[in-house]
Amino acid sequence: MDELINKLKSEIIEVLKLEDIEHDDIDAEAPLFQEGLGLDSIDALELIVLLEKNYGLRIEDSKDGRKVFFSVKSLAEYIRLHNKG
Amino acid sequence: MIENYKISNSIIIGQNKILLDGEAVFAEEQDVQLPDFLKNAYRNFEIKEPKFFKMDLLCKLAFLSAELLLQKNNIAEKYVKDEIAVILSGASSCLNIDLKHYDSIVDKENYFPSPAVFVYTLPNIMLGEICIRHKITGENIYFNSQKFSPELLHSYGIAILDEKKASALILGWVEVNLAGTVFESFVCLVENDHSINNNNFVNFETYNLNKLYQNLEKMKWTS
Repeated sequence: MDELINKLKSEIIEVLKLEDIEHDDIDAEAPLFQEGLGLDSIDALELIVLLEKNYGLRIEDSKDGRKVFFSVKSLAEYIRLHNKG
Repeated sequence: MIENYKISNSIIIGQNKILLDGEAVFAEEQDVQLPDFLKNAYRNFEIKEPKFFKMDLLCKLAFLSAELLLQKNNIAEKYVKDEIAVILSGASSCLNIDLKHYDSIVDKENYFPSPAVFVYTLPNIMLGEICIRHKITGENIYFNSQKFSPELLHSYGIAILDEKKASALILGWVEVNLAGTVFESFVCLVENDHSINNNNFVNFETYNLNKLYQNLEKMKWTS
């Protein structure tokens, strides 16, 4: 799980071009949006693409999105539960 | 009263150099590529705008041009926000980022368009980034022309000012080629002469726009 969380942190930094953010600056349990990294709606769309492109996963029910993308940890848990690869 | 409009400040970015009112304020080696040049300049001037790194090259160049100009002469504080117009032009528009978007959708087996890339596939976005940063709510427009046209910029700028649609202009030419390898920017501030605090202004005329722009050409010969 820790390995997946670390991988996700690196992918988020790269995909969202968070140039001034270091790997250790990201608290895995902190909210990704508004607080924490302060991500916006375009970032949310990028995370959806990341999930599909890198892990082959789609969130079918949009209501789940808020829970899945709450934090790096919740995203990692979703991937761990649903990734068949 | 007939207003007398002046170019109060200008910035030129090209050949990996930045000239603010004719004075060199930043330079990099010639072999530094545009993305690194822009990033290094951003860091050098200690600008704080986290969104900068998400912008495409055209937006970064326009943003940096306006930012350094307004650091020197903050017209966003001197004028009512809806009395400042932003008028920019260029030849290649946002083709550089258009190509990146195209690359992400051309392969139907690997079809992952990036929302963060897609949002920059309009040249007007650079106007928006400048306006958001400085809370400018006046007229803004982007013109596509094959080459720098001082006549076009001057005639539109004067029309906006004479019709009292704006009291000050951020006006110029911001260009990044398709490959993202060749770039240049000439942006200036235009104001009423009685609003200007320095003595280095020149009349807002086609001749002077062209003369200032020609400094970019001179930089090519001296690099």
